[in-house]
Amino acid sequence: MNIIHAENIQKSFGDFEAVKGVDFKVPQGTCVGLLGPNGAGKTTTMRMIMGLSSLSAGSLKVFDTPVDKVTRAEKMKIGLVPQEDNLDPDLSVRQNLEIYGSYFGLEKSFIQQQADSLLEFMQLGEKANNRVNHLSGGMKRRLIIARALIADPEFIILDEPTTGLDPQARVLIWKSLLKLKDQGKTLLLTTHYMDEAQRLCDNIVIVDGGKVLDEGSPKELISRHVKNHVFEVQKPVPEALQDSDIDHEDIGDSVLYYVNNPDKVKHLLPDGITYTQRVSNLEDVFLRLTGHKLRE
Amino acid sequence: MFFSIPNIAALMNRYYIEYRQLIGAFFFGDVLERVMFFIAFGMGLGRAVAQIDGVDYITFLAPGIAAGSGVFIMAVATTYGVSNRYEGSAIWQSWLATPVRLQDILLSELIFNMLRATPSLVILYIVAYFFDAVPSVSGAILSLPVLMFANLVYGSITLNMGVYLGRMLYFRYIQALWVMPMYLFSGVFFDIKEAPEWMQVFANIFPLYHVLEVVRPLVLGRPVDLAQALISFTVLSVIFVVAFCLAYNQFKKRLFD
Repeated sequence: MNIIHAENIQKSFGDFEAVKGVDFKVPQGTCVGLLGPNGAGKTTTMRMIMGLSSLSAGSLKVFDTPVDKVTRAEKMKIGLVPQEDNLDPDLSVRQNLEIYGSYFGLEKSFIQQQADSLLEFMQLGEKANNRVNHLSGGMKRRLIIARALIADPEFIILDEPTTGLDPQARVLIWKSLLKLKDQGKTLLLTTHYMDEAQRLCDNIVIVDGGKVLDEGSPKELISRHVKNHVFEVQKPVPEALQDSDIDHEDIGDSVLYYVNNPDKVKHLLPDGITYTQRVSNLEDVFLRLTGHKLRE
Repeated sequence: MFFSIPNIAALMNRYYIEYRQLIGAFFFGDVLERVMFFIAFGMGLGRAVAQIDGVDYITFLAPGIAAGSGVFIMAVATTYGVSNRYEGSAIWQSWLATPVRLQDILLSELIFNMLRATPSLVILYIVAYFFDAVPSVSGAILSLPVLMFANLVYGSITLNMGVYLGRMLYFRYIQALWVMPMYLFSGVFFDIKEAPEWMQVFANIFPLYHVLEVVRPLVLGRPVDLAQALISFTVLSVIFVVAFCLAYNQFKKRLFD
């Protein structure tokens, strides 16, 4: 079963087309990553799924129900981790969870039980009675994730959950998200961190300019677009390498060469040439598909 | 447009928690200011103005201050307060990711602030009573539901202005173009029937004028013109429904693109 099924979804704001016909599916029990540069249409797509933004065209089904007809019971099965920190500043950490739970019409005893286990899950137990304004950025993000889980949702939407956090906080959040996956939850994630997407996502949809550029598992995308190894060779590039038919991309000061067998490039590099060699990752795919130019 | 009572109850509980934390600020803002107005004008100006509309000035003033107090409270709550919640902290957006809907949020904002403004009305009447300025206690009690409804009406109107309160300083426009003219030209401080004719016509556009037409006779222990009261109630109800629907549509456009 697909939790989300988007077919040719479009969204325009006046003359500006933010989403120009996006198709993707989020199968139950998987983590799907929606990746793209700033302004690619990711957040608009997330907002459309939550019913916070209407579709200009196309079909979007959530739990097999058209998004504008999602019932209260279905909405209760979705947890949202928004990009911005919109915790309730007038409430304590625990109250932020308990009061939020009351908006779902849940039993008080269930909410309290959930709040206790989520505070522990997100390692916020010691801060339970603090005002949210006194929390660090990492703690706020953890609390927002905990808040999204208060009604024990089946499907969790995470819009850049770790942006701006230190490595320790990111690792803690990754571990929590992997636990949620193990529990059989379905996740839809947007992020600018390719290592995060590679670590968490079963399937990745790369969008840019409001369109899907490609999709597949991280492994599939890497082998399809950049092969296993990448060499970044500073200019001027040796002639032998220039004349070769190796898949490459000019990124200004240097040229990237993509190969499955590193020796294929190595024997064309004379001594004294400056280069770096590494195993290819999703970031290479992302930059290859969306380009190296700054967007904003 | 249907409202969900469980959603509204959950939101009211959340407002109540905030209210308990800030009760001092609410109290001083809502009550003390109005009581000072009442005493200063009643005792100060009251010495110069012997009688107005057949009663002492302070007695004439008491229902006026009571009826007008909600204008300020509701204007601030539905502009500053609302703007903070949907633009500042963006907590409305977090509520909208739950089964809570926009209409529940808007109605809760109005009901909570109406309820919050009610103790200040009671306290004002108690103070006025000690100044011997409440000729009819039963009339004053009867005026409370009228004033609570009036506060909902004031709030529904200023809610429309809250949509556009992008900068806090814009509140000055709302204050200068709506709150103060209504407060000064609806007959709070003087008998509108004695005012120049243009002012009597002008007063008709303000809900506060229509509220005072009912509340003042009640508190002064005079017979209320039932036909007039029914007209006032109908006009205010229509204003409330229209203003609420307009505000809903504007917020919907703003929040749901």
